[in-house]
Amino acid sequence: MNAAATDKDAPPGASDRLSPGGKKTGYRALVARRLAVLGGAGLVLVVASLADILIGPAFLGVDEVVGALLKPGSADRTTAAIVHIIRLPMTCMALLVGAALGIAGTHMQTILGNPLASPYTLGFSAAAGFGAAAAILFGFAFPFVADLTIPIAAFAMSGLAALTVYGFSRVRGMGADVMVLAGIATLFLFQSLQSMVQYLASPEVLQQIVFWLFGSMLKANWTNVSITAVIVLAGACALIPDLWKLTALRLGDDRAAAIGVDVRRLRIKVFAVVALLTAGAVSFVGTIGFVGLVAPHIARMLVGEDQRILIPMAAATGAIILIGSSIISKLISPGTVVPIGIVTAVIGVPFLYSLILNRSRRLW
Amino acid sequence: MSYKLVHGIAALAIAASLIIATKVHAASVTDVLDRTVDVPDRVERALLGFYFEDFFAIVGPQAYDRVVAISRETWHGWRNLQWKAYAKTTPRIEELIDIGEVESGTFSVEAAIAARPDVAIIAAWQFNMMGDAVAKLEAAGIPVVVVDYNAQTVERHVVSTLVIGQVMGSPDRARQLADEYADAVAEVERRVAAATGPKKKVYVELGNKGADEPGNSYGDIMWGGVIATAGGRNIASGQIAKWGALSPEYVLGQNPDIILLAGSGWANKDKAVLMGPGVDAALTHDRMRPYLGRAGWSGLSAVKSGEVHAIYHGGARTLYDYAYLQYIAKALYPETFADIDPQETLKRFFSTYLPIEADGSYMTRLQ
Amino acid sequence: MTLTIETLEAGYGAHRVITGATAAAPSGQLTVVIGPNGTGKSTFLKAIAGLIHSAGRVALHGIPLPAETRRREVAYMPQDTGASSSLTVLEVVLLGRLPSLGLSIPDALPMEAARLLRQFGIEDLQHRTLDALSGGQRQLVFLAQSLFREPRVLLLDEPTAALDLRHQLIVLNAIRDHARLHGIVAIAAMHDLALAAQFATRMICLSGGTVAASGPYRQVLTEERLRAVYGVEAAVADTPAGFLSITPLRPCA
Repeated sequence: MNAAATDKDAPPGASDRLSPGGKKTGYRALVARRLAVLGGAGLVLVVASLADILIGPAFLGVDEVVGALLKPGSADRTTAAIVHIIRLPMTCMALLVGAALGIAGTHMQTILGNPLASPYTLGFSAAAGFGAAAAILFGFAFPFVADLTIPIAAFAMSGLAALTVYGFSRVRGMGADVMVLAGIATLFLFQSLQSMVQYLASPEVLQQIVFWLFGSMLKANWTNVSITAVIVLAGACALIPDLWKLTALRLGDDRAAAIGVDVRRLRIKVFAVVALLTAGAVSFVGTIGFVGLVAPHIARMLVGEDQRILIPMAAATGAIILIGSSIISKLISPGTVVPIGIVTAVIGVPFLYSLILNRSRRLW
Repeated sequence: MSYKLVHGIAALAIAASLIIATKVHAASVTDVLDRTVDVPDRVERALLGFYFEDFFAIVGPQAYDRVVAISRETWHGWRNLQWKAYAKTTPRIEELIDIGEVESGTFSVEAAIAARPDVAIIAAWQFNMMGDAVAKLEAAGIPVVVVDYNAQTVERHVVSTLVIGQVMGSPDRARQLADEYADAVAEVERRVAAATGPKKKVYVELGNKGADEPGNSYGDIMWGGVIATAGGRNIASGQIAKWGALSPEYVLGQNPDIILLAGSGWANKDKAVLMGPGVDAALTHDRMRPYLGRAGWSGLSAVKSGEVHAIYHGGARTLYDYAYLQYIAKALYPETFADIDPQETLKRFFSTYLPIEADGSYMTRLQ
Repeated sequence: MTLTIETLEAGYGAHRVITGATAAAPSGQLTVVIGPNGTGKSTFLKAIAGLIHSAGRVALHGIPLPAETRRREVAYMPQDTGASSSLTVLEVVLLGRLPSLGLSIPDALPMEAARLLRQFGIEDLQHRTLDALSGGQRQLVFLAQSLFREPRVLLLDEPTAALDLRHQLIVLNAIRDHARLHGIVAIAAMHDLALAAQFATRMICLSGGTVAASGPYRQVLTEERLRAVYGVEAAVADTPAGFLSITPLRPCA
């Protein structure tokens, strides 16, 4: 029975003409197009990364930098030091943190069913900020890993926030709404604790805390880059078997359950991964905002909702945004470095507004 | 002697001298944080983070010919009048590379490394705030030496002075300065210990905000420490840990015998207590007078007996801060220190060790 | 092939909504579940689909189906909440066979999905996103998704609730024809009695947590039944053309 053939509601010229036997190529072509966009994003990322390594207060020439990259042994010692000890770790960190925030933001928007969700919605970063502020205020240092004291404190508090939100959500059925409420309460809790620490701090300590909160790639070194890489890889790979279930979740809890998704279990698992990725992204470099909110939307506009492609695209987009912000912050004032969190906010806020105003393309 | 023996001895002597020559390539220094650092034998390109005047004193008037990079803001911004005075005698400081300021977050490790220094001399507070930037400097082959005058202890003052002297190759001058400092402080302590009678109460306030707003006082650090050494009772001690403003009511209740206003050359502050190189004492007094008009201050012992003083804030945490120690001790125990003239001490230090004269307002009593 | 339900009990937590339901639904035709709002039609369907815990026996063609098997063989289409996303029509249908989807999809799958869409006449819409569809088209898409997994039993919760008259007819036609063509059991919960009477072969009337009546629709949809279950005075009569007309008059005193 050809119901819609006579359906006058079908918009004129609506049919996507398909060649006979070409049904296959229609979908495959779509997927191929999306993968090409993803590939393009990867290319942009490589170019941006190279640009980031080339730019810095020392004004090194392109040949010097390339030489130091390809043949570190024969390069001038100072140039090699700058490229390998300062710039390369910073670029790698920006890449990893941007990817982590992009992935975490996408998952957060999926499990909370809300386009305004970001990795920070449930209070993970406010908690990390409190952990770091407390560590800075009390000036303690862990034995053996003194340099990692602040990141460990930040990570631990982030974990505590995650447990709190999980605990409260579980009691009330683990639905998206409950999670958001518990998350916002936790966010406020840790933000007030953060304020209290700031109040107790002397001016110089306060300044240190504020700087940490702004976020900065300057703290990147090969140790914390490696740790972050492990975390991001683990978080990205953990959900590969669940990508289609997440796509299904975009249809709503009921429909996803009807298709066979264990919604509750999926939400818990993704929650844990988001907590891990966010804590990892924030604990070393501070709370860099907007990337986790904006990258998923840009990625979704370009490649659609199929999570197999959306997740890598969000990672690439997040990394591009962060590396781009890093480049801009270095160009604005070459002598010193503008905190990267300020640049992402300056880019992110107008973008958010344009998202709200833009009604021509479906974004969500 | 046989021909072979002479040749043998000559060869041995040459070999020995070569070994000794190659060994004198790097010296080992133990800095103020007990870190052992290998520095080059002859430093030509130093990176200096702080303590610029003390550096002049220890290394001599040509000191900055061997400096390539500084944290400019901590000198040009924090001690602007001082900067101007030194820029006149040593224009080279204007050309030094700026590595940024650690406390305000503008410090750039990359700029520091790009300046290619052969050693980095930084303050302990900078070291604490730089985090792993220190490791990065060392990984780039730049030894990092930490000194500390901010602790305001004789021990750290002496060690820091000797360390800079060792690194920059003027150990004798450094020894002389360190001994002078230790001796002067010891002398004050000796006399204070011998003095009898109750300790006088002292209130010190940073004069950067003018009379209308209460400025910071100091607990046990900075001026608080100096007051304690000088045999005074700091009313802020026990109330504040490091620094902060005391409640005006508390100050009135304590009724201090001596009031010290710490002044400096702050720019754009028309109510602050101005002091420093090139400042006229009369101007300082003009800025001090409004403080007497604060609520209840006319009844304070210090005000009634005319014991309201101003001291140069940049004078603490330096190699010549013993002059200020003497000044405060003299205000507390006038008879015991009748034979010491702190202004003279300061003038003598400047003319002996620094390329500028001590003309300006550094320590004065409101008349 | 008949789906038989015996003494089904289901609910949420301690609150039992269905306290003992026994009914049957044959394949190849549409069986409609009626009953006032809140009487547990959704719970009834979800329990049969194995999506919530239940007690009792559900069997197909005499063979009992444990909850595990039911989740595989029974497709449940929830009420439409109007929630939308930027998923395309084809992607929505593909999701019907979630277990077969991995990092890559077998080439046959999109072809089959398109074929199914063609049966409903909406193949042209396959690359359109959900939000660009009308309500009727959406329901057909979700119907296709439910049928894509080739279930033996299809349960629909208010499939036409938010649709205009024309699309209500289109959707119900599609369901009834598909059931007839492929010999599946189709059960739909509906609150529009007149529409139900048009398309149902049998009806199950739920009331107070149990089955008040079950059988051919004319037997279930009577004036006494409406009085007893709905608390409504209505006129139920045969029209000259042979249709059953239901005219609600007034609520019972």
